[in-house]
Amino acid sequence: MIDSVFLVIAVAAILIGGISGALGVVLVLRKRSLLGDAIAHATLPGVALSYLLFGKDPLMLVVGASIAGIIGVALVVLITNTTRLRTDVVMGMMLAVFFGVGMVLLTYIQKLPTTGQAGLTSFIFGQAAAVVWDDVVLLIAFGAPMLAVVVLAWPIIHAFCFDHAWVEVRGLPAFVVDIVLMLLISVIIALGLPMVGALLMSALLVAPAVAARQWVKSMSAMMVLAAIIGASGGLVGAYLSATFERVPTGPTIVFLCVMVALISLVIAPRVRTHVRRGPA
Amino acid sequence: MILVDLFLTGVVVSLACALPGLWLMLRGMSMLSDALTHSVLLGIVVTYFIVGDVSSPWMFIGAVLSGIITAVFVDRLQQRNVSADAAIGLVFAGMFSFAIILITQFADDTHLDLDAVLLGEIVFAPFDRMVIAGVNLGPRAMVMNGIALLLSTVCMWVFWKELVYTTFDATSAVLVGFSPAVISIGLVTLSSFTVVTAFDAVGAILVVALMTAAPASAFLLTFRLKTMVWLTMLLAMSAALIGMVAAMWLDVSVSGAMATAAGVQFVAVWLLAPKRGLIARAFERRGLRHEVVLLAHLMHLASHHIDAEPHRVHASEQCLRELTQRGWIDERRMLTASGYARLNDVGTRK
Repeated sequence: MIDSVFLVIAVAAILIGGISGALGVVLVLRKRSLLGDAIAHATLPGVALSYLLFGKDPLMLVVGASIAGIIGVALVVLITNTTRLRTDVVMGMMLAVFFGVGMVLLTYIQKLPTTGQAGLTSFIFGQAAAVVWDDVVLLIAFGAPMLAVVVLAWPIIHAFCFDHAWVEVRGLPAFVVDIVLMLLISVIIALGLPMVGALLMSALLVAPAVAARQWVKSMSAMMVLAAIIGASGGLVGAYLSATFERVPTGPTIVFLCVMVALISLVIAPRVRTHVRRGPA
Repeated sequence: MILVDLFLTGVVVSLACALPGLWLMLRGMSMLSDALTHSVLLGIVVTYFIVGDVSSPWMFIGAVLSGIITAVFVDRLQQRNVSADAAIGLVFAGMFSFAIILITQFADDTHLDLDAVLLGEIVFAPFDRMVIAGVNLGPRAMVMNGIALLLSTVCMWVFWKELVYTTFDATSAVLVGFSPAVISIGLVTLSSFTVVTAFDAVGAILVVALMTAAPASAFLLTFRLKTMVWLTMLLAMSAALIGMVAAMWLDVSVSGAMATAAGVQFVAVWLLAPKRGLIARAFERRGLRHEVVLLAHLMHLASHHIDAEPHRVHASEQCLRELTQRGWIDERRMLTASGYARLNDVGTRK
């Protein structure tokens, strides 16, 4: 029953779920969950432009999507820092406007006489059936260095999430850490687009992290658990959509992860996140 | 005629979205508009399966209900120590993914077109007419959004005092006897209604753009609330018109072009706004720096005024020329009366 099509989708789903689950921990701890959503929507014009320039090259699509995502984040930060506007309204506006620009470009592309652009809208909703071995290779090629960065820079990332003052006192470039982390998140979002789609990709970052947060205390354990939840969500989602008819892979994975998060919120024992002052 | 209908629809939808969007923004609830546009889909799908008719009023009730459920869920999660942003991300993703799974499951016998619902195409709006008792009232989207617009305008008018109080000073609002929670629920209900009517016409993502961009631009232009309301309406209208004309001209997605126009308009305001725009502020900073340099020279000269040797001061020729031009020093570099007056003013705003 394990055929090669299922194998490709399952491996890709596990990798996407695992990596985004781990990286999402940073977003959730920094209270920036919605930034993932903004990045995911902002990737669309990048996908369209990279298609216009380079055709349907999976590597260039990932690069274009990541660059657009980073530009989106940069604009959000820039506008928030130079105006009285709150981050939430700026993010909402940016994600919708970037998505609108993407729609304009996509409708423009669809009128071009070249063929083979049909698959582009799958970046919005995701289409697991279109995932091929090349995508898995890309996931590994990008995922391994990302993992290395997280492991090597662990003390800094850890401090960055909890103790911003420490990072600055130590003279570490908090700004650079921020950019690198956002870059990693943009890349995994770009990698997940073909399977999960722009609209739901952010949930794969947030849901496993929120779920893991309910069970463990330390950030390292949270990251490992979030990765496991994301990866199992990917595997089970891929299995369900392969076994039953008309079950969309991406939304199923997301739905499973959200359910795990909600159930964890209800049944997990309250983990004390800070030392409670004892009596007297 | 169709073109007129299209433009009218676009403007009415923009206005209907911008008004509740402004209040959501002022109350720090902007991302809720994003959550609503996604989660309302579940309400539409579920009601569709129960009632089986795309255009029944039940769809509205279902959608508005799911909007309220979203807000309540987000609130509950926040009470369980989940931060607001994570709660919103979680709830809308859960409801939205479930809606898509349902649609895909029953795709064959559904008239719900996912692309149309989410990405919207306002171009078709003029062809779907609203006919009641044989009278052609105009495009359905225009009529429905007109109702939403009327509703929010009336509500804003009637509850202006309550809105202002609960938004800017929740504590004294409670003391006066207004409940912030009731106003919040009212606003969420109104927003859900608007989101449903609007995204029927222009698609979910554009709704978010319409609800955030014009209010954010207006926010940068004024501190006065009433002016902000009028500016929001004006900017919503202009972005809609610019977007639609551009889309016709370039022959691209109208919804996408309207969102793009709203974004471009915001960036223009951000950069060019008089006084508070990025460029105006950069000029102001440069002017201030120059003023400080001049004043430093003036002080330096004043300190040497006492030992009567101001001609020996090392000073930039250009600054001295400018100080003379302003009449603060005379040709012997001695401070004039107005020069002293300016020095006395240092530290107080002009």
